[in-house]
Parts: sequence; structure tokens; C-alpha cells
Amino acid sequence: MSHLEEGVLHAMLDGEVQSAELKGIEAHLAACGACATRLEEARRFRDEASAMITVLDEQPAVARVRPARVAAAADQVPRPRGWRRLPAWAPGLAWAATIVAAVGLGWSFRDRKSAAPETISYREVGAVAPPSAANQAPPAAAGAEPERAKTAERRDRPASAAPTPTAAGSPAPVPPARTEVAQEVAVAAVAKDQAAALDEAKAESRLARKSLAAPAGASAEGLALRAQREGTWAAISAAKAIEALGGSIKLIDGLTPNRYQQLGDLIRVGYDTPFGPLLLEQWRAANVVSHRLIAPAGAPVDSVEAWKERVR
Amino acid sequence: MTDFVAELYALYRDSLIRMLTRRTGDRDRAEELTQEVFARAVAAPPRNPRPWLFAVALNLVREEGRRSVRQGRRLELYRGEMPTATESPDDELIRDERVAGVRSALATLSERDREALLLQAEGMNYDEIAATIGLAKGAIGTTLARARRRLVEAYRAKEGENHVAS
Repeated sequence: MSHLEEGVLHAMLDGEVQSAELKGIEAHLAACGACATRLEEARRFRDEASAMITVLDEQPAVARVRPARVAAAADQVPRPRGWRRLPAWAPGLAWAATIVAAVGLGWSFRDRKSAAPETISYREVGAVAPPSAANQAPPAAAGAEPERAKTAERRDRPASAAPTPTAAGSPAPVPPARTEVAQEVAVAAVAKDQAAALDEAKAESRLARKSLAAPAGASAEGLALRAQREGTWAAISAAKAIEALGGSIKLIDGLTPNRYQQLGDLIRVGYDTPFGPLLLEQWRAANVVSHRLIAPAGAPVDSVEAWKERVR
Repeated sequence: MTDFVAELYALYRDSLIRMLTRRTGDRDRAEELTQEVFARAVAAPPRNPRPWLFAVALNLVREEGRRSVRQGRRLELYRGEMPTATESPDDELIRDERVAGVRSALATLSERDREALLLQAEGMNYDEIAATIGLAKGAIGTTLARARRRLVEAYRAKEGENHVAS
């Protein structure tokens, strides 16, 4: 008996096998233990690879500024005319280099604060929890959600709508007629401006986090969940998600999940839709898995209703 | 922008940006490339839009990869080094290592395997993946099987090395 090819197993897992062929494949799997084992292995590879791909959505390192590295790199930045090199002994060299760097990204970064990881606005469709577990449901963030959506909308602004001032890598926007002193003043002003923009971005970020962490009720579990939400969602495998939920998981019938994430006791199953990512958040409480659907904001109501109906 | 392209933009912009960010590791560049893709769609509206848009996007990435020097690259460094106050250094480190590990594992794949994987992650079916990367539909299952296995094994191997080293 010849065994099934690995490609066929993956096609089957991806729902890409025609129903006519499917019968034969299923019959083979029922009779062939080796292929059934390989199917499970293929499933693990598929789930793990999907989870790994979603890890790439996490924003890259935003490490602390490393003055020496910035200073070294700053030497290679094209400088405005009349640039005065700071003496090597200057203790503030690293700061100066930082400011040079700030000029380079200055104007562009003002509109780049929108480059946060989550760029799609969501709307929650509703939590579904059995009555016994109702008071343990994660927060609906009512009232805070519109604010978050507003932020996300701003982030979703097409790049073409943003002013495109200095091309990256070109000299800072200092008029050539200015004196050196005036240039430095201008540089400092841009840096200050940028710092203000950063503060604003941080405030927005804090607001968004606060929205996520809106009150879940007075229960200890609710507070614990709220605290958990301050953390970061970690990509996990499907198997781990099932394990975390006590051996079962809810999925949306007819859709292929492409990521699993965990934050404390909360598990998220993610799907891609033409309207953006669709999330099925779930948790175990009182021995029952409860869930809520978080749909992309632009999804039509009938699609959302259909997804809700197909949660199994 | 024509209505048709505007509709495509609404439907596929986010997906393209996500796929390109995963591919290049640079969200800003992904947005620029997406703009370029739609600019080309305006000039020559595609018949089979989704595969067309993604194929153009991947071509742009490949073209860019061939260019050794690109103006402005230097400043990306600075952008990557701006501080945030939202995570502890430990969290940052763990996240950075995880992202770097996946990126490095992805880099071990052939271009075609990598693209198939990223397109499938965008919810494309085998027909669409085949049309985008120019393979027969029958070869997509095998391509994905190989890509997934290699990705996971490369990542595990890297993790193993790290454990031995630490």
C-alpha cells in the first residue's frame, strides 16, 4: 500500500482536496496508522508555522537608544551645509548625535507614531458566556471602544495622506541661509517637537491600553483578567491553546485559523478575512469555555452574524 | 484612483501591508511598497486582482533585494532605536529574540517556499497562491508542506543552539 504524500496531507488540512478525492484519502487514513500519524505531524507543522508567521507582526525591537551606535552612524548622515563638527572631547557628543538622528527622522516620525502594531480597528460582537460564568467574562470595554477605534482610524490613514517631507536619508530641513547657531536652534526645536510627538504617542498608547483594560466587574477574576491584559499576547501553537483551555477550543466553522495567542488565561484564535483580522477570544471559567468575537470594524453585519453563528 | 482600484485598496491594503511587513520586517517600507502596488494597479487595472496585487508586491520586494544600496536606509536604524515606555527591557528582549528567531528561520527557506507560506497566511487558497507565484496548483500542497516543515525545524534548531550556548 503506497502512503499518502505529505503535500496531499497538507492540502487536506488546508481544505484544498476535492470531495471526490477526499473519500479515498479518508479511507486510506482510517486503514493506515503510519499515514494517520503523519497527518497529525503535518497538522502540528502547519499550526506551528502559522503561529510563527504571526510572531512577525510584533513590532521590531524598540530598544533603548545606544549613544555610541547612534554617534557612529550619525557620521554617515548627510549634513546640512555649514554643519559645525563638535569637538571630540565634548561630553555631549552622544546627545548631539542623537539630535542629528532626531532631525533625520523628525518630520517623518511625527506621522509615524501611527506605526503601532495594531492598525486595524475592531468592534466587539459580543461575549458569549454561560450564566454561571457570566460575571467572569472579560471586559467589554464599553465606552472606551469608540476612543480606541478613533485612534485606530487615525492610524489607518493611508500613507499618501501623510505629508512626505524629507526623503529618508536626505539632509535635515534646515534652510541653507541660516547661520550655524540658528541651525542648532532649529535642530533643537525639531527635536523638542519630536519629543512632544513621542509623548503624545505614548499618551495615546496608554489610552489604548486603558481601553483594553476597562473594568470587568468587581470579581477577583475580572481584576486578574484586567491585569493580564496589560501584558503582551504571545504566539502559541494550537495544541498549547487547547491545553490552556482545558482540552477543548472553540473555532469558527468554515474558516481556517492562522494564529493562536495567549495572554494569561485568555486565548485568542485569529482568522484573516477580507475586512481584516477576526479574533475569537476565549477563556475557561467554571469548567466551561466562554468566548467573544472581535470582528474587524469594516466587516458587514451579515458577515459578522454568520461568523457568530458558526462558532463551535 | 478609479472606483475599481479604490475597492481593491479597501479590500487588500491591510493584507498587503501585513504580508510585506512579514516579508521585509519593515512596516514603513511595506506601506510604501503597497502604495506603489496600487499606483501600478491604477495604470493597468488587473483582471485577477488579488494574485496580481500580491505578485507585484513580491516582485517589488525581490527587485529591492537586488539593489545593494538604497537611499535612506541609514535612518531606518534610528527609527528602530527610538525608545518606548510600554514594555520592560525583559519583555522587549524576549520579544526581540522571538521575532529574530522566526525571521532567521524564514530566511533559510527558498524564495518560493517563503512566498507560498506568507500568501497562505493571508488566507489565499491554492489557486490564488499558484497564480501569484507561478506554480501549478498541484504543487502548492508539496511546497507548503516543505516550507512549514523547514520553517519549524530551522526555528527549533536555532532554539536548540541557543539553549546549548546559554
